[in-house]
Amino acid sequence: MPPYRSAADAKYLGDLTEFVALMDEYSKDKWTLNKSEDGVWLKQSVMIKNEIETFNRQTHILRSSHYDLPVLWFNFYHRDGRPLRLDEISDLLTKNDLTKCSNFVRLVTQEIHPYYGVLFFFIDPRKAKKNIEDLEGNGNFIVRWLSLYGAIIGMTLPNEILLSVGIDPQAQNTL
Amino acid sequence: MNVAFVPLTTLADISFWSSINSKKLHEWKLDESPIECFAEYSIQDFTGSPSRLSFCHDSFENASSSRFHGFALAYNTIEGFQNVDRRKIIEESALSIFHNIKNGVWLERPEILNTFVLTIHANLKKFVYTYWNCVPALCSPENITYVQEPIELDTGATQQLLQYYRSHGYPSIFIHHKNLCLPLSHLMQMTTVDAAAAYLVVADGSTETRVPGWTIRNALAALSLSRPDINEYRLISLRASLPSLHYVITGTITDPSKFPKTVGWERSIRGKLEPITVDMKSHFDPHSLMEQSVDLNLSLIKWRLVPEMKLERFKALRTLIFGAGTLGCNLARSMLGWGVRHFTFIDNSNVSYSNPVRQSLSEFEDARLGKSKADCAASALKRILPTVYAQSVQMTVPMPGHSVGAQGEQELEIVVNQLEELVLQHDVLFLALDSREARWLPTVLANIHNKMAYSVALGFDTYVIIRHGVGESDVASTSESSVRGIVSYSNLACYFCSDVTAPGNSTTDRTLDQQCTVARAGISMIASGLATELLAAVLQHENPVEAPAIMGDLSAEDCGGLLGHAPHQIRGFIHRFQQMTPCVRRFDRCIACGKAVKEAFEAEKWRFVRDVMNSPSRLEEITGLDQLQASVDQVDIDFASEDDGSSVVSFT
Repeated sequence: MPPYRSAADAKYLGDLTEFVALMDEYSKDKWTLNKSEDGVWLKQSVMIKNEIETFNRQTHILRSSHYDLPVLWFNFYHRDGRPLRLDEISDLLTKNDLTKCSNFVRLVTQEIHPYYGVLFFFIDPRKAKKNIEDLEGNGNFIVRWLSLYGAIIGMTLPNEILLSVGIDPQAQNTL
Repeated sequence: MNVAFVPLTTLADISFWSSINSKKLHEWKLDESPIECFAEYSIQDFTGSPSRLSFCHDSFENASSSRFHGFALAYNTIEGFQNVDRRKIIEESALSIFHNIKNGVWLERPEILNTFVLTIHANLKKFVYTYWNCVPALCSPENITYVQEPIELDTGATQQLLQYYRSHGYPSIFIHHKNLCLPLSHLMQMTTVDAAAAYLVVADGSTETRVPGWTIRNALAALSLSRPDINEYRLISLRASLPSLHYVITGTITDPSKFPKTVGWERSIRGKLEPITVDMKSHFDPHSLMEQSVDLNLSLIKWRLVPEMKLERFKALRTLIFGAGTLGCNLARSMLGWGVRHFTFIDNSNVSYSNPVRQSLSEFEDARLGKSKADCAASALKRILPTVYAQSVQMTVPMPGHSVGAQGEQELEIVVNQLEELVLQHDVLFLALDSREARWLPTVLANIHNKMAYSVALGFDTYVIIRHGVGESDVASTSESSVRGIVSYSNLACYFCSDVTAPGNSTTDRTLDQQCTVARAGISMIASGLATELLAAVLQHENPVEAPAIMGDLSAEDCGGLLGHAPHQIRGFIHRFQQMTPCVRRFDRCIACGKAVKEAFEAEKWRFVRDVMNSPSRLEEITGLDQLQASVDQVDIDFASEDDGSSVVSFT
């Protein structure tokens, strides 16, 4: 059972804020908290590279009332601001051993971003439904959730943060 | 060593341009006054990345203070953008920094030293964006050199600095002195000795290991102008991924009250002082977006389910659809879903009031205005997918048994030539016409020019789809393949191969309900869907024009292509919801695809067509069918005696 019922749920907001603080302390990949009409959402912008080029990966965590779960939205950009296509992202992640997910394209869909008005990719929570059980447990829900979903796009969380919710960094679950 | 600073690189992603699009259209309109703008910079990027100043959708919203606060100037014309007085812009911005240093505001708010002016021209019709950013840097002191070159700070010291940085709201500059971190505001109270010994810690986005970044410049200028009593400046470049650096710089200041020289217009990737232009059409133009979304959808099918599928075969396919009625419309509609993008409709009639409910590319208005069916079908496809190629040809296909007089011969010649030309320009024909004889000429032409042809026909509660044989009939393989039950594409029958008489005029003396096929409403979609999937199965064979068909049970033989089997015929009977897939060999004396007919057409072209139109029995003559019929009359079937129960056939 998903632990939240409405976007105004205090625990969700608390977990988001705590997560941002944790990442600030233990990781160099900062997140920022943004406000919108529907509530609060998280944003991160980091650089990723392969042998030839560096890319800007932007990741957002948005609330979806539709799925009653957070949803991970992302885009990868070239230096000139053009976004990468799905096959280019898949290449980038698999060839640089950045994703533990064997069938990346299975989980990803493209849609107009709710706030930005441009096409973004997102991980479809319906496709990963079977792993909902892994989200049960105490502690920061966002950490638990991101440890699964973030891994799909090559995002790893620092060990200190994983341990704080009782996840063994070595035995990482994959979707 | 010369003191160099890593300049900042402007990174603007499509969400930034999206924001510009909507703000220019709805808020700013023609107003060119400066707009408050915010850009992110990062002290945690690594070598190989640019030292970035990032602009995105949030750049026009005031959120956190740990960003560059500057201005955007959006010009309405490219000339306006190019003729801007760039010296004036940078000096005005630098002057305000200078004043904020002189009046001490920088001590309370060091982030005020970090600013920019982003000049932009957005072409909102073509979605082409030209921009040139400047990040003003005051050149004070002058003639700077290193007293001590940059050395990496040890991790313990860096951690202490980062700890202070994080816990005090990310100040862009602070002081480190006698192992303590202090706010910048303490600077003016320090003695000369202390000020000379203290380090100014500056958040630095440089991604070079041993070279300080652009933000150091204004910090150094501010320090030198505020404390003219010291002449050696100790600085720390604070970074979170790369090692932090500490170094000592010296230089000369002639007059601390004088406004120093300024630099800061960004250089392009080629190292020149010039603007950057990006073409974002494919990300904003709705037609382009639709094309991409549709392509992505198909690609997902390929990547997730059938990786070896060759989608480009659908995209490159040129289809010629005879008949823009119920079948023609539904055929095009479903092929569109596979990525087919090139359609030509041939029809001779106009949309009537009974059509729109069944003919999915027509609607009420078309009937009210009496528009051409072919035109409507093509237009409708373009409304569905603007980037599709859809043409219409208004034409009556010449038919056997529909006589043509001498006065019609000139027109006939033109039509036959036009039809042949159309067949040559396409890869596959769909015969969705409403009479048997109308299918004759298209079948002949497809056969002659080795084009694929699919006949689709409906009865009240039946349907049939036949893929005509393509290529020279290979007699040698016939005997061999019959053993294994596999029939090559070139040996498959056409629509007419099973007929022993030539098609004649079937439309005379027909009642209204016989003149147009009246079928159960769902059958057209069933048949069209099946025809589309049959096409798909053929196209995904290794070599489509050699895709064979199986005699008998389809599941028995593994002779399918990537998508499975491609039967010769699909015949369905909705009365009992049954379907079968017969396989029939082509008939060498066929009145449409037989060799004799091919030769006759090639020899006489439109004249041959005229003869057949006036006298269909001509076909029976040249193919020798008339003799075959005659020989049937000579067959004497002897219904033999009851004891052996067999029939004996003998020819006299």
